[in-house]
Amino acid sequence: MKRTTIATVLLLCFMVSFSFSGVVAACTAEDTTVSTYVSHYYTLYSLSSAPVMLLPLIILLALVALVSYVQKQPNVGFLFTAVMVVLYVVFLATYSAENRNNSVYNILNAQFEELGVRVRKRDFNIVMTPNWVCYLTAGLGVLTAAVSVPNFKTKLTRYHLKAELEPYVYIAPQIVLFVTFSLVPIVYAVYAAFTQWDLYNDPVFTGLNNFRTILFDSSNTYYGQLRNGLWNTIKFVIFTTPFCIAVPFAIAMATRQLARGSKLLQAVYYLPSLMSTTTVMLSWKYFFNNTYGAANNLLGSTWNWFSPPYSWVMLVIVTVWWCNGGNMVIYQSALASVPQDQYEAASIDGAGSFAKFRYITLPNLSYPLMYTLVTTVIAQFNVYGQPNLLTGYDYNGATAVLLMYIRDAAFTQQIAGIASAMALILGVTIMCVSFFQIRMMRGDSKRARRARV
Amino acid sequence: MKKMLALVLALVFALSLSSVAVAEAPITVQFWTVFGGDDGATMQALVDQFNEEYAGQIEVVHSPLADPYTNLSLAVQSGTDIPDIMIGHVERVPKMVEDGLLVDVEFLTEGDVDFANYPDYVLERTNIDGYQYGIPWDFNAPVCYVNLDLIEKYGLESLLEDRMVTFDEIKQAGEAIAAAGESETVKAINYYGGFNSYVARYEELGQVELIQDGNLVIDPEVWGGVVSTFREMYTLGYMVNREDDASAMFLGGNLVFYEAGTWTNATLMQVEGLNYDCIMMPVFSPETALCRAGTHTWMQPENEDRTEETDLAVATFVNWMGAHSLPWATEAGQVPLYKAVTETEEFKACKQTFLADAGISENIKIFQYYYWSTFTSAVDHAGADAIYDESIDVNSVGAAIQQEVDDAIAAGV
Repeated sequence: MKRTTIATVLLLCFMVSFSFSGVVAACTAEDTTVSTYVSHYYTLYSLSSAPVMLLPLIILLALVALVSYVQKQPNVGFLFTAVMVVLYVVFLATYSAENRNNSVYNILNAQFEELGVRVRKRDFNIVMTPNWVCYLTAGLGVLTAAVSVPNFKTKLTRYHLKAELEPYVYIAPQIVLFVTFSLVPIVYAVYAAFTQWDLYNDPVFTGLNNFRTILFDSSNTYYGQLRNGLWNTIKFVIFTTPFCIAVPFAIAMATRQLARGSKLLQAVYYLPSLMSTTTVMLSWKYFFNNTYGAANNLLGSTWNWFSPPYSWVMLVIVTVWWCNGGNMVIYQSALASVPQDQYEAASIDGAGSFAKFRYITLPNLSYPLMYTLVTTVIAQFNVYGQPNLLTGYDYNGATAVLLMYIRDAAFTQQIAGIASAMALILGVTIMCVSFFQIRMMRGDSKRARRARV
Repeated sequence: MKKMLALVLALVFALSLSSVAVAEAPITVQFWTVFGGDDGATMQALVDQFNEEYAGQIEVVHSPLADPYTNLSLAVQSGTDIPDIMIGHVERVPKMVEDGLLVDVEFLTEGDVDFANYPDYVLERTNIDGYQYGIPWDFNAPVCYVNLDLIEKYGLESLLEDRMVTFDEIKQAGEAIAAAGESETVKAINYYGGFNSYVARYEELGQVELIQDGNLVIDPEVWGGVVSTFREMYTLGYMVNREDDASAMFLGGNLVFYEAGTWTNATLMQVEGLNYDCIMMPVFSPETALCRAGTHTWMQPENEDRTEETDLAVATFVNWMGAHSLPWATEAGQVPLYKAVTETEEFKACKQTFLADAGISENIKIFQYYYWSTFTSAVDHAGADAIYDESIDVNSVGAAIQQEVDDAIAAGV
């Protein structure tokens, strides 16, 4: 068996064992009051200590090492595994079970002393992950590194190591930024979804309570907000996505055929994309204001443009106007790359405009179209600014999207646990939709390749 | 050798400059407020005036923020950019104290701050467990602006005799407008919206407290009674239509009674030719009249690294601002609460300062509730649909608000 295969297996065992180590597993107490305090501070200590910040980094290094081994790059894998093991040993040194147990007891004892209650250590039982699990995890990490130790004496090894490391150097800045500003917040947000957290104090682990509330408790306010918000978000995606694809595509096609002024027109159509959400929404809101808006004054009307169902029409129009620039640029570039000889050959064969569009333009643009479809759907699922500024919660939340409720719950009501649970559900929805779209994309590509063959 | 000498001389020169710079640096005070727009401009002018007077000693950096509370929680948690003093809403104080965001302002009395300069009944609102956490800055309240030209046009002078107007009197105004055949273009009253439209009227109508033993207790029928009052106004055609803009109508002389905040006065004062006055929000009866008021209050965020010199500078700034807060009434249309200012003739001449009159204080209530922001958010979510849509049960609105607040509390707000 190749050493990269062995290293991959050992690393996977490390990751499984790692998931059980370093985290306080359970806590029980006979007395309810003690139990309440214990569960609160238990979570406090287990997830807010500085050593715990090493955990995402260890996970990331393990994943990169795994990828390296799968890519048959044992030397790079060794380096990442070695760093990972060092960090894990540092983590263990500052976070041994005995230290944790004593620290939690000391914290709790201090709290009870303030209440005038003396609590004995035997009154509550903190179940920690046994040390042997941590040692086993460290051992697996060392074994993984040992299996893939390169022979540093040979020049060829050093040359290969340098070549294999070079790509990682180039992507390191993006990886660091991604880990710091995306991965760590995402991991913490996922954790927050399983807690009760008011943003000020430390989160208290509550398991699946938040999900039970918002998914199954029909009498709960947040159950209604999730359903209304998610359904409005889906409606927004369904209403806006076709126009956000078709309109910029039509503009790209039309401007491309102009002999003069095409660049100027393309710049004009792109301009709205450069404006901020607030500028665009407030401008449209005031333009269509019932009393003093220019639209009603010009039309001599008192039409309420932002009442249902017309509020949806306004949201679609404003969104398409604002967002068509990005997709338009992609289509322009794709249209420019369509081979002209195909059009000439089609003309010789007597094909009309529609036939050329259907059998030449569309197939050549299938990949950009699918790509923009995926990105547009993801972007529209993240809608917030347009309904928040244009229509708000009026008309019984007719256009209130899920992100509005999430923002309210997290920062106005400070119920970050519920907000994170809603956000997790939205994220999973987006992932599912994107997964099916990408599968469709790959299916189309395969069919196109088979047709060419 | 020459190069070395030049380098040493340059270093000595740079060091001497730095020591001079350090010696002359004024104490910087980071100051956050919730005031933007015209209010923010007035506040900035006051700060600029203070900085000019205390140039070289104290420099106040004013940051107006739409949502300082979220910013504050992030600042305190990260330990960076924590303001030295801020002005915020009194309703927020209990929870901010509970969350460890504020320190008491007792230390400021070792500087220029003297609690005797502020009304006791407002100071009490931020006294928690015997410690003072806030110093009053101003009153802010929903009020009613009256177009005096329309009052005269429709012969409604008798409605303003006691500086108070009831909903029955609003109906009289609506009937007068209808009799003149102008009810399509001129309206008697607008719907202000939000908690300002409800909390005082709820307690007045139901003669029951909204906050009981620290808990929100909404009687759906009483709340529904308030909603019904608005619905009746709308159904009769006396209320501004949902899609119309009340402020534009008032400015254009098409609205008799305009419910808005005291802060709106700053805009109205600048409109030429607008003949108006300011009275309490419409009530159900003069005998049970109640007006909800809030106060903006000075509060000091928790910061272990703040020095004693900074605290003394803060005390100087807070007292100076109170003593010079007359423009806050004359230019911003607000109601400052520094006693020496409220006793001046210029203050008493302002339209909105009737709220500080001793005689009216018994009709004013400052609501406080630990989950105030949750409650106001729930009121916003409930919206105004029940007023304009008769198919909605009016009693369902209060129940929905109560449900949302209870669910939020259960979720750990």
